[in-house]
Amino acid sequence: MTGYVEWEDRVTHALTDLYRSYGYGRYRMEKFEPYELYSEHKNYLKSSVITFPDSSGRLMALRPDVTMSVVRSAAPGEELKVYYSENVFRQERDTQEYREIRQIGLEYIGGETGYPEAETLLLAARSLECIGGPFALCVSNMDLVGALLAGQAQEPDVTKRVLQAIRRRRPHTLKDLPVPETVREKLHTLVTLPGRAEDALAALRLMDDGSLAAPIEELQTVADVLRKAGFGGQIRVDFSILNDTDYYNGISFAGYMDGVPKAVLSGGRYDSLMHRFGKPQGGIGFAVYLGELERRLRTSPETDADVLLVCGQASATEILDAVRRLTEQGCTVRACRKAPEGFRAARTVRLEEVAE
Amino acid sequence: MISIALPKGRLGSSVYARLAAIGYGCPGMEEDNRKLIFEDGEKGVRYILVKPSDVAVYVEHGAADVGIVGYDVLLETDPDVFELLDLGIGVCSICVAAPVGFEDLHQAPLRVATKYPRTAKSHYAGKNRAIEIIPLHGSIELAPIVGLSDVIVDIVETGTTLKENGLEVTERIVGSSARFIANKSSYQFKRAGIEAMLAGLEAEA
Repeated sequence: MTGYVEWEDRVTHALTDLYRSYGYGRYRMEKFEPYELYSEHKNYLKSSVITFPDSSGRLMALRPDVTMSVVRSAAPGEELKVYYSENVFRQERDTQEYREIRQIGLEYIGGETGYPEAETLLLAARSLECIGGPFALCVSNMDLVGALLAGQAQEPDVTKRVLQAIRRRRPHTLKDLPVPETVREKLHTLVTLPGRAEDALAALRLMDDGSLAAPIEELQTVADVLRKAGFGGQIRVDFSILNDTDYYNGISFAGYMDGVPKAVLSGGRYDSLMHRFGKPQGGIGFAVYLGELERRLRTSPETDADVLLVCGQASATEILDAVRRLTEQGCTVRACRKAPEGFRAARTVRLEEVAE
Repeated sequence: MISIALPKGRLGSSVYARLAAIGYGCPGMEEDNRKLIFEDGEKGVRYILVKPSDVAVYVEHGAADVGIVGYDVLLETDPDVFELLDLGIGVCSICVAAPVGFEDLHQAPLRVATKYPRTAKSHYAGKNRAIEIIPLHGSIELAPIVGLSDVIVDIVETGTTLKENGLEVTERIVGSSARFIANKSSYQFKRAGIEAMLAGLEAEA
């Protein structure tokens, strides 16, 4: 068995290969950026930005997010498909602790309506498949909630309370909301949707008075795409994963792995974020949080290397030759003059035993 | 197997009685011993007995799939969990209480003793009143009597303890009761089992 680090390398390669195969180019960004780039959009980031002054006194930030950087880099109207594999740095608002978070993901900026959703959701499902093990991909549509509350939320607090009830699956709090009974019933349906995607979509259609047809259709299209790709058993229509309404709109989604307590994948359409940066085109993307998987996979490797090569007084050239021969056979090798204490190898060989 | 984080104490006992009544009983749970984990493989349940304020931590981090916790704790800690049902038991209120006859003269920050600092801060921020939080873990009623604080923010069930200590409720911040919570990921993979338990508890409630 390999350890977490080896597993992470393997999954990173598999994911980036997958994204490249769909025409996404690698996006790289600096770790240090001027803080002013983030100060206006602090609400977009759920955690605080880690800041420090540079030598000229300008306030700098340690990269807290990738999506915002991609959005800024896109030219107005440009179609851009990029993937990234980066660490981001955040300060948790509750504990004030600094965190370094490993993120792999992609952004699809621009593009025809409909196709970016289909491709992004498919790649999200295939990303979870790459990680391995049972998974669930939950999909919702922010526009459906918007349509449901259109003209209802007179008090700013009402929208917040509705979203809390949906995100936390709190049907018992709906009775206190100052909304008409018909809206309350629909919200109850939304909070208690059945598990199977088809049943959930049927329940949504039953409550549609015509104003919800477009967002339901969008969900149906996504569900069909995923089912045809063989992910019918993993897709759920679940509104508890709704994103921030100030920046996201349309389809939003999250991925869960069995045995991992938090979502390992999160994404959605963020046209509102694009527009805030003066970009007329839309955007959709997701990030995979490999760190969330660390606990499940936190197993020590059974061995430190496949082969411990004991070389005695052999010359450096002889040792390098032997190491090359072994690595060409696909082994990992640790060469040493004499066997170190406590080193765990599948087998120990002496240099003379490595045949030409 | 569904792991249930149950708060130690009176609330935990009454919720366990409900769970046992709907088929989730577990041998040893009602015995007087110091064990903290009980399991019944046949019924597919494991009980973990924890401090009431820790229930949501166990559930949020996936050490338990579901749990029973007071709304006061949820409000204070804001864990990222599903809150599936209001069990309607353990009913109480989070209140501001002060010595009988206390008047807030607004001449200095109000000293508030509490084990709910977040809830207290949010309450007074809404009123634009400057406060100084004095965090305590128990016997909160003592604080104003010995001059440690001006007022307290605490849960009040009947008000008897307050009365016996010369205090009275001056404001009710929010009502609280026991909630059935679930880990967001566990809910995706153990949904049928969790919903069966939820339906049973709903019927009992």
